[in-house]
Amino acid sequence: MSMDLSEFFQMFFEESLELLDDVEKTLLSINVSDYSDDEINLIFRGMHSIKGGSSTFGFSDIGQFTHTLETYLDYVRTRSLSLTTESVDLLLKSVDCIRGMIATHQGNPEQDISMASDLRLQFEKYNESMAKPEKPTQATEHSENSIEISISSTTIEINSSEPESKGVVGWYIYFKPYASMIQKGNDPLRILSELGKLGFSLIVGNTDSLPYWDEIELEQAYISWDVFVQTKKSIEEIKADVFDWVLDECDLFFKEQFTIIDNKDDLLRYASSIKEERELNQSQSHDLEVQKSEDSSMSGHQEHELVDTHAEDHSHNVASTPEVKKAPTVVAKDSPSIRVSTEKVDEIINIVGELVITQAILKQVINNKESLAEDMKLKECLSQFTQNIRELQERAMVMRMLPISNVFNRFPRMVRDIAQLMGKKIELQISGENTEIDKTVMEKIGDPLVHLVRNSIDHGIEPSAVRLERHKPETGILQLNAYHQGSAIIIDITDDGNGLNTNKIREKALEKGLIKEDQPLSDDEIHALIFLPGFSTADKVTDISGRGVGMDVVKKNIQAVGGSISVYSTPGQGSRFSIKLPLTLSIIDGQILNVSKQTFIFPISSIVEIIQIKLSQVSKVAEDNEVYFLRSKYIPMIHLTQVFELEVSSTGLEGKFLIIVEVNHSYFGIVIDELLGQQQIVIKSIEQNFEHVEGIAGATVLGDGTVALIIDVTGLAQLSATRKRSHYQESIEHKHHN
Amino acid sequence: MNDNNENGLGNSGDTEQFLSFFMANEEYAVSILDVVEIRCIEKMTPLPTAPAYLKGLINLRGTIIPIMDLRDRFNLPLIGYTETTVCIILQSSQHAQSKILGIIVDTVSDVYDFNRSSLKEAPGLVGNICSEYICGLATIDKDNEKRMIIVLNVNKLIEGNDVSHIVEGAMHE
Repeated sequence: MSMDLSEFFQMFFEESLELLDDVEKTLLSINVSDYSDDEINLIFRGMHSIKGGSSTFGFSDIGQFTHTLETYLDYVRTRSLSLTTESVDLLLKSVDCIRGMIATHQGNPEQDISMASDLRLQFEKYNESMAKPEKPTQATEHSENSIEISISSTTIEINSSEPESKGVVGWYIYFKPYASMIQKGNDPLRILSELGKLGFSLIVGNTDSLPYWDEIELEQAYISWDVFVQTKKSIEEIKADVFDWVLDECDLFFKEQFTIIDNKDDLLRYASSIKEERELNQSQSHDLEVQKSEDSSMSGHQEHELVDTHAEDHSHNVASTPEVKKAPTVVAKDSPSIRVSTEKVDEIINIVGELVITQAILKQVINNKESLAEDMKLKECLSQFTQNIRELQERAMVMRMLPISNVFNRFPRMVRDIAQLMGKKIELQISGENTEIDKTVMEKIGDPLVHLVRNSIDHGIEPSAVRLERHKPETGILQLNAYHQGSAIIIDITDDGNGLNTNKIREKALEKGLIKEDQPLSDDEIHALIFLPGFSTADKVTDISGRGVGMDVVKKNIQAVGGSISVYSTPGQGSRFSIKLPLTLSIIDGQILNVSKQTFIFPISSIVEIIQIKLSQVSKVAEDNEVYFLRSKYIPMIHLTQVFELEVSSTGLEGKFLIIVEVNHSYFGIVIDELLGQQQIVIKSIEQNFEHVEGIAGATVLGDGTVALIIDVTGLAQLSATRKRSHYQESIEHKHHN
Repeated sequence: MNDNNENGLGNSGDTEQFLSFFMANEEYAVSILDVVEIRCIEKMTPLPTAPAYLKGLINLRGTIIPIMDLRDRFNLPLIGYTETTVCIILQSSQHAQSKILGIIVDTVSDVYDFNRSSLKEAPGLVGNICSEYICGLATIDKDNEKRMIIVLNVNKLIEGNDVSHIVEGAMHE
């Protein structure tokens, strides 16, 4: 075959991974003693679809593995076997295993799938306990001398305790593949063998239309099959189990049977007896009708037959057939979404960004020309234009917004595993998982969150014994909470464990030379120490945390996306890590301002307030540290001219402004010369062509085409602190020299 | 062979075109394939805390690119910008995410054709410039006189932001 299957592979991988996510989620929430049909069906269907797909594409390892799981799940589904905590564990491990197999097929080697065979063995053990072949009626004995192809399975029907009751014992199936089915890579033989697995089956091929050898085209289908299969399953179930992938690629005809057809001649006779009817139905199948008819030729029982209706549902007719009614109705949902690659969305967002800049330029051009500025009509147009662009931009950004649950989803499993590993009892409470966040921000936040959650489990929550001693509930509570605050999103990770041990942190920091012996530090300042590089308080290095590369990397990653992290802690009662992230990375509302004739931009989200400086409120502390007295608080002042080493164009603070910002619970005031206005700002990367510049979050293009720098407030505060420190040291050294 | 590759001398055979420019009466050249465009000196936004040779950022059709003064970077005596001072925008071709950078030079001169394999290896240090920033020296016959041109390695120029490397030699002297 010359078809390129690789693009289908990708689709299969993506779909399988999504299915696995669903399965995992259900497994985690399932109650082994009381699970619903819906839950177990979801798991079963997930495995089934993956099995179907992997067989189609030739990933036999996945196919075989999922087949074993499917068999087991089928027993569970029919309540012949019951779920146990142990088997749920095994199923979860299997999910990992399948993910590993998929990753291997995607070209990522070094996946650990060694446990696959063990897992399979385990499930096969379960399955064997069920599959004692209950001497499948006399039919099999008869069949031995008369069938052409007989595929009988070891996993025959379950609950077949009353085989000769009045009900349906099986189905006559007529199956004729179209050429398209073979061209799409679906092997009829596979379908027949699947049919065989349903129970005792008799399959006769019809080779009448087979041409001479030299006329045979490889990708044509010439053979049709008459099949009798003994099964309790309904048409819908058979279709879903066996024909799911080929429903549109073949002629199918079902007729229920009340007696077992156990030899070839009977089958062929029956087949020809209903040939007319079948052909009639097939010609009508375009009308998608469900018919009810009588058949007296075989047994005189009332029979209903159903034409393949391609998943159409005719409820009024179906309602009269009790067997069909109980079957799950599979309705092909019109999917309200389409898959678009992120690159395409990013391109649109980039273009929208350019549009925002063009609009700013246009506005400036119009405002600068008097004749144009007074044209009311033009003004009206411009404001409409501005409005539309703003809306377009908002819509474009929304396309890239995803609920934070995409990140949170991994935690139930992770917390469960780690808690088990460490022998701790932990309940994870997640809230606000529908809070939406830009995909690009989300991608960067996953790892830091994982680290923080691990830390909370490892260092935060105490073992049960300790908790009981401290009169706390035995089960520790770990909360993940996401919510909006202004134009930022906050993610809180709260635990009710130890809290941070300030003494221990202090000691450790001293030991590592991060602070000085006599350095007076507030609790908040001590807490902030854990974010310094090379700091780790874990007494022993564990798998889970404590390699000492943790928190500073967490902080760096969060800062890289323009966010900040702060920690609140009460000893003995727990701690809370709070991550603040910008909603989006590409467009922000900015305050444009001037310092020393140079234009800078502050993200409005980082500004607490802006005040005009009153000289009477400014006082000097320790040489040249200035503080501003605002509402009974002293706020340190930062001069951009000092931090950024700008030329000082005007001295004195009179008439200048102070922008108050908050960094790690402390306030800073940044002195600026002139406020220019607020505008939407498209953030452009400096790193793309240069490197990261401390205190600068990026750059943007202003209305006049020039570049302005966007201030990173957190970085600025740090830069200012290091500047002051080095300045201080210099002056000390200077004194020593003198 | 490996050594040659390091210096960007890998391809031999066909002649290539090189754009030459002057700095402090010395003629330099870069492969014309690395040149995006030549611009006049325009208003640049200074970048705080950046090295002094980095004069600032400009907006090139929506992309922010850094501009550096090549005299400053090569530790040559600084002169004010004149009417002939230009900014050559270069793009590195080595990496998938190629970076763009502008260099300020005294004046552009000419376009020459010559073969990379005809380049002579530069001595350890040319002026103040470390040899790793130099592909080699070319000799050109022009107006009946032989001239030497220093061919610069654009990829190194853009990627190697570490100023200490460039003037290392100068410090030892």
